[in-house]
Amino acid sequence: MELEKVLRPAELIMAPYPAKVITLATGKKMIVRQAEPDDVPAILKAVKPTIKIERDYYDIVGARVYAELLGWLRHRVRNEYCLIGQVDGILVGLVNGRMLSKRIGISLHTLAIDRGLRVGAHLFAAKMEHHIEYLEQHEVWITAESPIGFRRWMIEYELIKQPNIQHELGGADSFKLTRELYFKHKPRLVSGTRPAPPEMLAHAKKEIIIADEKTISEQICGAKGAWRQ
Amino acid sequence: MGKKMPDAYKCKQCGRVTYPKRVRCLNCKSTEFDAMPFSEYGNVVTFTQSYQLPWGIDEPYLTLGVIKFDNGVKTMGRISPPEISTGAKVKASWEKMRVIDGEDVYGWMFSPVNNG
Amino acid sequence: MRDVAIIGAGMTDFGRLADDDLIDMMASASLRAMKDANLGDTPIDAVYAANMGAGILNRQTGIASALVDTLSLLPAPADTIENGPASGASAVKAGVLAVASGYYDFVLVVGGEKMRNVTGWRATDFVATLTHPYAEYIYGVTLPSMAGMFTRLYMEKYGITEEHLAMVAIKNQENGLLNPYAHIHMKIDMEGILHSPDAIVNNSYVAKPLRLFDCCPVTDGAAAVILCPADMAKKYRKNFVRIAGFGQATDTHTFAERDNPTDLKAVTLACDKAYKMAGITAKDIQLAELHDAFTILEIAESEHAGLFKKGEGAKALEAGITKINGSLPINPSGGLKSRGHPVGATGVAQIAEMTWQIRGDAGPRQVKKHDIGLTVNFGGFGNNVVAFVLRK
Repeated sequence: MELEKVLRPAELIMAPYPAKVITLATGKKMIVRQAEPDDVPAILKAVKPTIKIERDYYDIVGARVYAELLGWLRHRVRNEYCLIGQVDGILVGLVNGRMLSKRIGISLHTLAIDRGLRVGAHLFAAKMEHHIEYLEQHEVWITAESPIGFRRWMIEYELIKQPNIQHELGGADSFKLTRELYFKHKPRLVSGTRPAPPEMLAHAKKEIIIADEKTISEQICGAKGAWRQ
Repeated sequence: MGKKMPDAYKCKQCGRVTYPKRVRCLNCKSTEFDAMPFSEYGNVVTFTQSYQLPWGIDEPYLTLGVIKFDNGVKTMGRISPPEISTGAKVKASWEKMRVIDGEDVYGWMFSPVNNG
Repeated sequence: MRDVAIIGAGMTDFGRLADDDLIDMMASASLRAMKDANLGDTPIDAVYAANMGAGILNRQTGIASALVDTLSLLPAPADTIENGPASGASAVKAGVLAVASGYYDFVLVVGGEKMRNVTGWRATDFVATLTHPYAEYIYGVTLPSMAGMFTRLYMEKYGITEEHLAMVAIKNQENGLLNPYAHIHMKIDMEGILHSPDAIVNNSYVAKPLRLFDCCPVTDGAAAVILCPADMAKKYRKNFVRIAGFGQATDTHTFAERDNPTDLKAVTLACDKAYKMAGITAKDIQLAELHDAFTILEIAESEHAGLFKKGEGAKALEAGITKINGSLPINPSGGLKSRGHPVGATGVAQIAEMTWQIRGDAGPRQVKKHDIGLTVNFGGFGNNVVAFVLRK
């Protein structure tokens, strides 16, 4: 028998995520689109530097996202998707998740590279939009590594605690978002316009521009200090 | 503040009403006050829907406002519906607000009066 | 009573200074100011340290005592000054009184706050401790929610719109881009923060009608100035700056108790006293650093300080008068909105900025007319305000 076939998972049919465009606070436009497996090597270049950044749990999120995306690329993770945010082609953030079953979605991670622009909030909302509106699921199970980001979602979406149901990321009990909660909070939390302008989308699809490692580190950590000359 | 509804205070000398209690009247500096019950109704002076709440509160948002009671006392409190308007007539009740350091803490809750 | 001069000013970066503790930041700002004052071997006679939250946020008290040790300023007299968000200006006032009285010659005033080591919720809770414990605090009231209540009334009374508030935010963030010390270096625009449907997320409501970009950030940082008698100043700095006047006033503790909640009485009283001491009127002010913890406050304070008539502050904003190249620039530093608001440091940072502006040393953010300036430091929610007039 073919060994590769044994290790490759059977996949559910997943509806695609239609790209949208979001105006950020700076006035710049962010394209939110579904990443193709071909995009993964470029995305990994942006994720890799975060693995060394201890601040705000970037290291564990980065390491896990790296593994999840690589796993998706190499056909070892079932039913995964990845949505990315690009401004002028530059990758500013990504979210990923997967379908546990037809009904239940698993939210994996949210990684924002550009800070202060609510990129994380926009992309997390896009993720929930995908699970509920396009993958047509009934609930999404959520956990987080960073307590701060998580508490915000917990309060903003009024997530329901699921005691004794461990999220596949391990760690704490999971929280869930239901269809009802999603639609209740959608007007306030989910943004963007469709369709994404075709030229902007084509430009984003053509190339994912990744800033260099030093820039990414500085964007995440800032370069300030009391003794800076 | 405990379960018992508090009093407002009326200056014995000049009649100025105040809450919370002050040591000296803001108008005439007298130190003598009569306890005065709050009235049942009041009007909204101003309000806000507060979405970023301090540590210790888990609600997604609270509507807070300043209410002027019919007998002239003004105080801050929570307003029960998310939407209200300035000038709206409200009914006051003394209710549990939250738990601080393990103790139940009470305060003013205001609800709109239907024909207000 | 002697005239008082500012011969040195210094500040740290404002922002998230994760690797620096409170005393470290305040020491750095102090050394910068001392260097800027060309003090050399001249000893510091007294230290006033401004800080609001170290006891709550950093589990440390006696800040001034810790500071004189680390800076090797022993055995100088040292006091910690706390006046909420006006701690900085109160400390400057204490320093001014110390020098003016004739008891002290060279005085270091430094303000600092370390707030980003705790979550935003805890920082918000800490600032809320300045409200009345059982008439306000228990409701979960926050400074932003008080400002939200104030804004609603101010909008209803004077016709101020969300657009006016956004203009203040846009202007101050633009100014902040020119300030190397500023916390926020980010250009924002009207579409992104207000007109686009995505603005509901970009600029979500914090305390309606105030939104995210109407509120200053939570910031770490420190700022310091060196004061001395004006007649000794020339030896240290030819272009020293004079403290022409100051004023302080208080108002009711609870917001509900104010007779007229849109009347920032303490701002008007404090500024009037400062103008009187300086022998000027509001018309003589050429630039101002106001306390824009919330964008509405820049507009409201500009009116209550007499810079514009009541209800005309928004018009001045629309006409570009308060822009950095306008005829009466407000917050050329970027204000609290963009420079940031380490609570204890802000009042001192305003004085430092005004010092650089009056000297003509503010670089790309230098305003054209800079002989007489006003600073307003707004403590509590307007119940304790300290104002200064600085001049050439």
